[in-house]
Amino acid sequence: MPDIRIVNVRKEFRDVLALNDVSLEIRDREYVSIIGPSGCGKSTLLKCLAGIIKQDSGQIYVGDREVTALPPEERHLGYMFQEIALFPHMSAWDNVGYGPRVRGEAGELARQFVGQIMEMTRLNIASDTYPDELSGGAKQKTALARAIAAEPQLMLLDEPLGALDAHVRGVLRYELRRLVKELGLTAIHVTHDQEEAMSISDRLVIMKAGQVVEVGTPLQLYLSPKRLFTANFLGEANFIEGTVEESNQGQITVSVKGWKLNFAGSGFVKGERIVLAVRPESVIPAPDDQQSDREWTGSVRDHLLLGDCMRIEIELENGTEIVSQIPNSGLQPIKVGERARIDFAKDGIIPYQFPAQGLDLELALE
Amino acid sequence: MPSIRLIDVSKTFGRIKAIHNVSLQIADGEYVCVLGPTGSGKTTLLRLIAGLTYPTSGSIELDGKPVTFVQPEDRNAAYVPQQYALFPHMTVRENVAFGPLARGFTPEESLRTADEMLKLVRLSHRAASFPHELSGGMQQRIALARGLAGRSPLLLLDEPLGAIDARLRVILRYQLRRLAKDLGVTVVHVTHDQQEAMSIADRIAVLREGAIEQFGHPADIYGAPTSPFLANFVGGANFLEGTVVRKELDVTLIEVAEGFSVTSSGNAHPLGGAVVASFRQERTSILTSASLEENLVPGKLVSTSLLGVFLRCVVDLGRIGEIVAKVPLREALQQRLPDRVGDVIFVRAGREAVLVFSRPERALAVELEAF
Repeated sequence: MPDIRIVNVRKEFRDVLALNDVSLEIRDREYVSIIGPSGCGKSTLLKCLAGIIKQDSGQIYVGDREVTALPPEERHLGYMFQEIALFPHMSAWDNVGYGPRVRGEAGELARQFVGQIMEMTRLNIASDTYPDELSGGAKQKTALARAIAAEPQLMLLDEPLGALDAHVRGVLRYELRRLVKELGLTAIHVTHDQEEAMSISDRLVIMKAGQVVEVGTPLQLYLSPKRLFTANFLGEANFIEGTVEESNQGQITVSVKGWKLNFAGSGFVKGERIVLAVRPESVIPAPDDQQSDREWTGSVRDHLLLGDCMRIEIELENGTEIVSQIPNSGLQPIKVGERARIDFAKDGIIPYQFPAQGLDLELALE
Repeated sequence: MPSIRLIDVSKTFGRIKAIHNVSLQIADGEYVCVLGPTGSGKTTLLRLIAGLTYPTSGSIELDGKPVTFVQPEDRNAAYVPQQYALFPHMTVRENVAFGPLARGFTPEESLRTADEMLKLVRLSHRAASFPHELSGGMQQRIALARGLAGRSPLLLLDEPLGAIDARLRVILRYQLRRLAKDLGVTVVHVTHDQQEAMSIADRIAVLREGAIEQFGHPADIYGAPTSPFLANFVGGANFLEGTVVRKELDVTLIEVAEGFSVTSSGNAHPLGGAVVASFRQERTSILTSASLEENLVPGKLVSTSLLGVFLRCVVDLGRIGEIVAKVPLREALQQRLPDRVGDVIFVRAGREAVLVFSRPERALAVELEAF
């Protein structure tokens, strides 16, 4: 599959600008997820790629070939949605074999081909089962296997796991990636679930209000997002507002409600308004048994064991509320009402200029 | 204020046993999540408490009084179904105000409460919109606000966050808990999402095939699950089938593959017993060089994926099979694990992290609902 290029694609629905001149390149055999809040345009973009929706302007290329005006069936792609549409009167095997049969393939070779796909998707045991006897996860896998059997080069996945229980979703997403990689396909996966996207994608495309906000690998975007919106969307974060007191030689000092915070960074000037994004796992709490008068102390407001993590909400003495989420070490947590001090992990503070439109609007999830 | 008691409650629909001998006691002001896979009977259980369906046998008490066959409207409970029905001809604000209005509050009070609740579900800016102008997630939040606005002391919520985008769902679940605690209401919240249940509930009732598998504090269910199903469904874990080959005072040795054994603390299982050794993914660590510690095995790092707080690492242990280790992200980056895919590394789980279960009657894959 050659690279895919989307150039200035624009789509308006009545009064809503769903896609505002979106440009994007996707490389051969890449697994890319497009994520963003509902209404950000991610599904519309996928449908334009599929040829199901015709954009108002802009071009789509597959390699050097422009496909902008081609109907869906001439684009050689597989499409899988949240709503599963299996043929109810056919067994899982016959559903998967539908594409090859329509292409006129029959006999031993075709049977082997379908068998291979059933094995890859680990559906062998369900071969003779009819859709309404399959679990939600098995149905979704059958739909995926059927899409694969059509031998597309590009798989478009629109919330492919959306209808499933959280637990099943968490298992199937890894199978989805494994299959795409084993078959050497290019995949574009649309989801509102940032953990799903981060965990299986080579690159992520973050969208908001019809525009691409940021593109990068999961690690890049999680650890050093260029935009505040990304920091908020891709996992939880504390947002701490302050003023730059000093900035030189790669060190920044920020005043936050009278308290000071030092961290490595540059590009800010004295007196500037600043927002610091700090992921909960970069907030490290410790009991404050000495009742010290040092800064960044407060009392524990709530404490939850999330299983693999412990989550602690701390109300600092300067009025800031801060959330810490650290791996569950099995140690006794600090109790609700007790005093705690917090430290910030090295490189855990990501500084941003205060957004011109205000913090709430910048972070808005809809 | 209401406490809830279910005594030996069963509910059958024709030949299907939806709920099977469930006994449950929920304290006043408690936030309880009923957690289970699709089809486990969660919604039926909630509807029984709401009075929307009556038990085939058994009894239900609210606040110490028997209510088994009492009409829903006489139970002083607010039920928010998954299929919420908003009034299409009313604005968002009017929809929410309907909750308190129906409970006899004055129109002014009702609108004031509606505004408060809309703020809480972050929809103040859409107060004047009509339901059809909003996304499914927004509509669900309106239904939730309407349920909350009635100020019932008992809230029965069926997947109240199910239609909401993942990121917002995380924000709202903590707010929902905080609100319930501030209002002092008793909540029964049905969900299939174990992270949601863990992060919001005082206690969790895990339902499986109509029966309660375990009822306890999140820490107990997570730390001491009573079956492989529970360990897998709540939090996920690695599972290795094996046989007890040695027992000492406080140690059990389980052979999980020819020539390879796992050490576990405790000695509850008999010598020769068929068991499943299980250890949490985040209690499984990765070492980049060998050491002489127990339960240390070499393997090939197959893949890494980012979960956020953790990096998920799949390791191929040859005859033992594949296991998953969740390594804190910063630690994983210091070890340069994303660059080591394909390399030989070592995995380890301390003996105290290894739980041992009797081998389930059904095949392990079925027990774990692998498909």
